Amino acid sequence: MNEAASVVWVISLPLLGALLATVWRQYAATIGWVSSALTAGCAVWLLWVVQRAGVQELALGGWEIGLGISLYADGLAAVMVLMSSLVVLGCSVYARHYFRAQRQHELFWPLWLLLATALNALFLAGDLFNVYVTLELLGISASALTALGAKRAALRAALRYLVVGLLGSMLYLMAITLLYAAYGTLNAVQIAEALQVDPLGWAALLLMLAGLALKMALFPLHFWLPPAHSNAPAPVSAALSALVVKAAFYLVVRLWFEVFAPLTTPLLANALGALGAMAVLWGSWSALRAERLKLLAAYSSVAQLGYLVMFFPLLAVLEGEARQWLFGAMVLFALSHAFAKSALFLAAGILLQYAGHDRIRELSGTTQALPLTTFVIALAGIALVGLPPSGAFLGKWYLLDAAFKTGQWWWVLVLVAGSLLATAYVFRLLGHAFGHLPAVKRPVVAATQEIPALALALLATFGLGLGAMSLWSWLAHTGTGAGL
Amino acid sequence: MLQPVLLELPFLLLLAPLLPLCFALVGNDRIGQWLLPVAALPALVAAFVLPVGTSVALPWVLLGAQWGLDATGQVFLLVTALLWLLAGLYSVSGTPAGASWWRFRVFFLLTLSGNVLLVIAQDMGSFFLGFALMGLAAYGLIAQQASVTTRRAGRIYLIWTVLGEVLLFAGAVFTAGAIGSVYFSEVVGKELPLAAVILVTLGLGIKVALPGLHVWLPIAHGAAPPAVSALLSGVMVKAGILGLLRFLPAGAASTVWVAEWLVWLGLVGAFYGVVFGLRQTAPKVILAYSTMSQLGVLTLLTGLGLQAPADAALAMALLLYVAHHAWVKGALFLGVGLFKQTLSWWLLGVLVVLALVLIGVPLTSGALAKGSVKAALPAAWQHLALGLWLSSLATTLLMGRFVWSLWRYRRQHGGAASHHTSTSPGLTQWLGWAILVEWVLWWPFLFALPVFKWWDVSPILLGLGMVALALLPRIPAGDVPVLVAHTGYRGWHWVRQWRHKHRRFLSN
Amino acid sequence: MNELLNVLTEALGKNLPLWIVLSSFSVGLVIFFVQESSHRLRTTLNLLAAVVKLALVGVLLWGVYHGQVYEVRWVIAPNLELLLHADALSMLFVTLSALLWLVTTVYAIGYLEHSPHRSRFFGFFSLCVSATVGLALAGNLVTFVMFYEFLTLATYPLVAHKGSDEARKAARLYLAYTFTGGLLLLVAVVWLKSIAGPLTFVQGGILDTLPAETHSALRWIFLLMIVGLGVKAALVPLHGWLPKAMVAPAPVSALLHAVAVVKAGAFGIVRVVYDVYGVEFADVLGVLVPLGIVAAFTIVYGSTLALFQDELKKRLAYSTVSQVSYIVLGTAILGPLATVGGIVHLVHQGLMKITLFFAAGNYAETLGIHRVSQMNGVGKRMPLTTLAFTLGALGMIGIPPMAGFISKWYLGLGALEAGVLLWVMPVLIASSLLNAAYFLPILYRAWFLPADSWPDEHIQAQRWETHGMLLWPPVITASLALLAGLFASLPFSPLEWAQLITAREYK
Repeated sequence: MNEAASVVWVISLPLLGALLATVWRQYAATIGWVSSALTAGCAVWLLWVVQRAGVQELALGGWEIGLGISLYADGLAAVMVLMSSLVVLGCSVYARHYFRAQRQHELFWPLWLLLATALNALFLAGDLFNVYVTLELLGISASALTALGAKRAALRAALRYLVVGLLGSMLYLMAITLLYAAYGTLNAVQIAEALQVDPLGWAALLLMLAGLALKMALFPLHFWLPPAHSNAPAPVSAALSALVVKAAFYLVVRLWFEVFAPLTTPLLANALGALGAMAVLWGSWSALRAERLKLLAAYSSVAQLGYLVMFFPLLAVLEGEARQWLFGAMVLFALSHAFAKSALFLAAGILLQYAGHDRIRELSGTTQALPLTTFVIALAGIALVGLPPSGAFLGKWYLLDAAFKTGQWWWVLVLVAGSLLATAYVFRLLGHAFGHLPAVKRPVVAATQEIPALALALLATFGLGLGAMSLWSWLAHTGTGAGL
Repeated sequence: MLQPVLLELPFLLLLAPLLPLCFALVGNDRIGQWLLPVAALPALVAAFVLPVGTSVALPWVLLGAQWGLDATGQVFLLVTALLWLLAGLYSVSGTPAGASWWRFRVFFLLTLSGNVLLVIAQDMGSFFLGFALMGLAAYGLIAQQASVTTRRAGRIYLIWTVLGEVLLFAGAVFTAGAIGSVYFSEVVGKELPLAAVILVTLGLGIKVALPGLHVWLPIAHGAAPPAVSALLSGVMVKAGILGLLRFLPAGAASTVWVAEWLVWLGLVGAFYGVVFGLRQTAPKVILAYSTMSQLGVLTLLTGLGLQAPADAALAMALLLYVAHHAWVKGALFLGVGLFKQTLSWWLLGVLVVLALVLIGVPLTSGALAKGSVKAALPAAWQHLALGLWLSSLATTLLMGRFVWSLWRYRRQHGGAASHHTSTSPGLTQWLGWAILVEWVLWWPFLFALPVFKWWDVSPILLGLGMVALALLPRIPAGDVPVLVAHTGYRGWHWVRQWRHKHRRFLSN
Repeated sequence: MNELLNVLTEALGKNLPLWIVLSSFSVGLVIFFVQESSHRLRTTLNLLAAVVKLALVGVLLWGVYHGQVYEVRWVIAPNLELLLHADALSMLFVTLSALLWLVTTVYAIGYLEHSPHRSRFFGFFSLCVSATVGLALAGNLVTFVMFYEFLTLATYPLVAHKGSDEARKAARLYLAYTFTGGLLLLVAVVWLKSIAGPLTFVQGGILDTLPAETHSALRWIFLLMIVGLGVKAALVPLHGWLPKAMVAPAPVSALLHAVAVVKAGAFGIVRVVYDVYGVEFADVLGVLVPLGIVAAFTIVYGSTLALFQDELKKRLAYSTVSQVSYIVLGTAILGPLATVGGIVHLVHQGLMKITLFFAAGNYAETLGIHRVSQMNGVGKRMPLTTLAFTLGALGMIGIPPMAGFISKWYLGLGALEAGVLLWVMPVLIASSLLNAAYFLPILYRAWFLPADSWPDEHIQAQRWETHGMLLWPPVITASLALLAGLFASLPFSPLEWAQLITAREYK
């Protein structure tokens, strides 16, 4: 089989699954997890291909690059695809049991696989218009999935989510219109080559950043995230927090470092970083104040995305090898967060099903009732705080390292404060979980729910914390060279 | 066949401190009590059998240990072991009332072990181990009865003991650091920092009851059972003297500086003990103050000895004095214990004899010790002879007070022996004490007794005279004639009464 | 025998340190899944792991003694590698923890006989020891930090084990302290790494070649590290968590105080001073004196507060605060003798303190005694336990022939050698006196006062005074503490081993 086919398969497999699930509703669950598994397999294959044969570029339908749908897979894209496919796989396995007794079961799978399709397509999109399309697809499928929560709050949150998503997409669309008007192409590589430092470029950059910041819930545009993420069904929350915001972040990275590289001044980077710092502090603080577990997790996502943005000002001034290390660390941090947060949401789902609520104060006795779930929460917590061994630990390590190397020690303070707050909210949760409840009956929790959560949590901690060395070599296969 | 083994083997040396330790583990009450005297046997045999210079190196113990006997150590070991043995014998049947016998035995044996160890220790680690073991374990002996006074006495003893140990520890560390070795043999001839000497002196000074550091001594003696007081006064406090000799390099500048202080402090102590002892009423407390006073003399001698490294006569005098005081004081305390149980007149008589020995009337060990001290006084310190003379006088007075307190005790507790003690003395109590008294009276004749001089006896006579005056009945105004008249009247009255009483008998 | 050991080392290869860490780690994970009721299986697993670990440590010790090099490297990220390495100092700590783990496991099995959540407890128990051993074998600061944090994580559930409000509060406090400390340590290590490159532990230090303009940064880093490590080592004023953490079950307290947490902090300080900064260079930087003053203050402060505690375990906890700082004090005094004193106290304090906590646990578990004022006459009821307690307490005071005497002796000699006796000796004296003041009354009560009725007698005296698995651990550790002091100059004794380490530090 053609090596480039792997690029196509990771998009078309979930799409096919979505169609089939719509048609054969009674087999939707099976179709869902089988296609997720196959997609994950293809994602591994894709990574292997990129690793071996370098960057894969593909114009669908035979149109030359610049006109048709172009796909572009470098190391970063392949890693992100793998991340999303693994999380989707985990959630799919989990969802089979989760939705078993519920009506939304049939609606879930097509939307879910559509979300997966949109994600992978977004990661692999080669031109800016494709990105727009996938962004819209992602936003719509995500808000539809949020609405599956079916409660009043969920519906309201979903609606707000939809509007925010559309607003973000509109901003993005305006930006690419400007770019198209100026350069006559939407291919990322071509724009990157042609871009000039002029007001138009600035306008485009700022519009895009604004749109994507809204979508990735960067402080102070995070207001929509906590209700949406905390009211959705567990697997959906997991995907939203782990992947959907990450997709927006991925686009920021792409645009920042490749397309708009000439425009990105350290000042702008510092401004972004400052927003990130505030996100860290505010998100962590809000997470600490949160009454409910899922809300806590949602706020924690705000904080974690703030960390990711804090890498920008440091990447702006670092050079050479150290910069590559830091970039890899940022990706690692994103991966670690994706796995950990999805694991946390899945665990929260189990807890919610078992206890009927997720109020933190009333979680006493969880350790005895749901030991494995508590263990997952603890592992995810480790990754969120950034304790060893976890990907986040390494991410923070390099962040600190860069801050010291470049003399920007104020990031250190933010990081210390953020980590302390994170410790506080994670262990506030665990502290309550360790409380005694007199008589505890062992509930029947399906292994298919606990095991994916555990696997994801282990991946975030031990997997990424101890075995992430190859990530840097994967990322070395990056195409444009425009800064990555 | 056995003899060469005994002679050759330093195992006796090892056995001396270790056997009591092993015995401490025996739980059986029936044979347990007999272990008390037996435990001291190896030490006694070692003192007699092992030649001076025997030594055994135990490099892997503590900081590198070395146990052995030098001339000083041999005398100390002999004195120590003999008193422990006899006190042990005394204790076999002389269980302190109301105490846990098992606890007494364990602490007795531990204390014995520590005491023997510190005598044969030739390195600081072992010495400190023995010193600490003895000091702490003795607490268990002192705080036997569960009364408030005993507890208080025990607490005070313990506080001072721990303080002394800590100070000694500091001094030992200082000393070892300064000379780069933990062996006493390395101390000789070295120069020590003054702080080290002072720390060591203060640490040991508590044990030898330097004035100001003596608080614990009378209190502890007052509370402890007789056998324990005997041991405490007789041998345990002497550990301080031995320690000073071991730790401080004689003749070194810093030592000499401290040693001069020791001489004066000793002299002060000698009188301090008497002055305050004279105001006491309990026989054992008076003896305790006497111990403090005698320790003052010993400290004085030690101070002199530390200034002159090679003065053999002085060393000999010191050792004689140590032996003299240890045994006499031991016999006195044991005797007081028996006296309190029996209240018999003849015991009082023997105690008076022992008191005279302590004072140093001719033909006793006291005379021997004091004579040799006087002979050994260095030329520069001849004026101390006056001090010693006064000290003899003071001791005499104190012993007078002691005899008076016994008499008073007897009067207070009436004639009935069993009035306040539940038991009459056991056989071993008598045996142990008798042997000790015998020994006390006999051993000075092994040496050449000093020539009789009026000057030596004069303080004693003077003292006895003063005591006699103090003990005389109240004298009415008009003195002798009135007294004679009074006596005549009393005599006449008595005769009349006698006649009246026996009239019927006579008339029959 | 030698051939067998040769074969063993051959088979286990260079990865031996890894196996040692994993031996308890893997068993810990397995134990989590053991049914609560399968007592026998869990006990077997526990003891097996402990014995296997001890055996492996024995082989490692033999190998290190014969000059074999054990190193496991694993690159986790560019320029960042995990390194397990067995050197003399790590062997001292590894041997201590492996040995005491075995004893503590036995004790814990006896102690938790009928309590709930044993699987969870023993699981974390094993993880805790894995973290300790990993930390001991860490070959660079990065690895050390990772295991240091891991240790915090693994001990949290142990402190919170009882699940009561008090336990959870204590656990939260513990976390608040240790995580803040851990974070500061992490920041310091990253900072140092950005200045000095890879931070492999090298005897004699690695920083003395750095240019003079980095020195002020190095001082700040040192401060951060000491704060980070000092939290676990309970240096005043970072000690607040330790007395509160006493709500944990006795085996946990024993482990916390003698082997794992507190020791990890002290061990870390030793590592940082000797193998990262290098003690001579640290002296040049002028950071040793402040460290010594903090340690001295902690020693006196801890002892003073211990005086006023009626709760037995709390008294012991404050005593730990004081005693652990001896290690720091020894480290802070420049000179081989003080180093010996500090390092050897790492072992000695462990042996003595674990004895005391075992005994305290026995009183609580057998008779329900939690307070000093309830201990009247307990010596008669529980003679062996009380004897062990007595030995431990005397050792803490520093009375020969207990191990504590040796430590203090060398600390004093070291202070003399370094010319700082003037302030160190008063500290040692004051501490000894205070130790006597708070331990001797306990002994007096236990041995000399008549017994009242016991608060809550769970275990009747039968053949022995209490359950055998509770009785023997303190007796064994007390004997070890006695032997370590009495035969301090034997080859392979802790003292000799500390002297070996020191000889390599001051080349």
